[in-house]
Amino acid sequence: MPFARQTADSELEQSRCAAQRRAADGDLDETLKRADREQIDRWMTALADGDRNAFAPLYAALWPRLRAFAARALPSSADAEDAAQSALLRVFSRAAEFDGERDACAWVLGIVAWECRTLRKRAARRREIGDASHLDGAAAPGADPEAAALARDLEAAARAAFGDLRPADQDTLRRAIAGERPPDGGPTFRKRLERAIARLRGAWRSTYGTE
Amino acid sequence: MAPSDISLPRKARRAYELGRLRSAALRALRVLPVAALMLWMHPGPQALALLGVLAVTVLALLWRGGAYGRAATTGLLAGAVPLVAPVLVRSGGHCCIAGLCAAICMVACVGAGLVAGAVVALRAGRERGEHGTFMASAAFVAGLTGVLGCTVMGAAGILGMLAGLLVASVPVAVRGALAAR
Repeated sequence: MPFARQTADSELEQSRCAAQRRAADGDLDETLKRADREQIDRWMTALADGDRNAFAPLYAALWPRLRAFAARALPSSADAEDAAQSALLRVFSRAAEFDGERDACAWVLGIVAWECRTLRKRAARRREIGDASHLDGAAAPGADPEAAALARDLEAAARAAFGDLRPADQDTLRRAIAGERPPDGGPTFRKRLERAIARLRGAWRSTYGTE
Repeated sequence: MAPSDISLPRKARRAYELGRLRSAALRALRVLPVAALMLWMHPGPQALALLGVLAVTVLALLWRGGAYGRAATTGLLAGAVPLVAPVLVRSGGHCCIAGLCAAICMVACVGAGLVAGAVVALRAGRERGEHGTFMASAAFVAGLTGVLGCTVMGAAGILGMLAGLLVASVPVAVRGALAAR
């Protein structure tokens, strides 16, 4: 994995963890007001005791909060939705075991945080497997739609930089690519080619800011 | 609202009910000591059939939860008294020896029924609201549990135990119902 990508991933991970910690600790009141928390406690205790009337209001109270929490903890909205749904189903599946002495909100947020963590780990594993297959050259060229799109973008960018060159430089580069070098392989052509490549690099750098 | 949002409450409700059933099945294992006692004292198909009905009843009550769930445990405890009492009396040499002993055994069934009814009634007094639900459920489970102990005396023993159960618990149920008004 390139160092720049590693650093970016690490920063992203740190920011996610920080968001999660804030939600779980200090900023919890921001997500769940005290009155709401007490109400959720009451509904959860009632549901644990078997009072089905508490189901609908508890669902209505928990779902948007779980979604918001997952959206803050995960970068992809699809992953966040998945994590929130899994957490919601797990919360209701284990509602009968809920101990009324505990804080229901902390219990629920613990479950959604666990789901987010599991999804992040799964995504990281998928990414690692993807990198490994790319390095091995196992994937056929063009088989990965993302790679194909990247290749297309790169080609278009190269064509744009090529178009900025003078016609003489374009002609030199075309001939070099096609292998139409002069029979004597003259030093003049080599010099022209070096200059055309240098200008192409300059055009690329000025347009895209990279080598 | 997206289609997934429409089905999600249903999925959540199903997860909740299945979770309750799983939890109830684990808690219904409390029947096992009573089952062991029943089979030890009265091995046979009659005890097995009663055990089946008792297990399903306790499972259903625990799954339903609330006063029903609490009544299941109380009913099992209360029912253990008429289940064991006649056997204890008999093992002491006071039962089933000539006609007189049979009368003592009958008294044991009625007395155990009264004790079971009192246990159910006292516990029902602590219930907030739902006295009737609790009383009916607990008395039903206690009756199912205790009925096998009093089969020693035949139908009369069973009726005596049930009468004791009702006599002790009905007044409390009536008082609870009146207080609720």
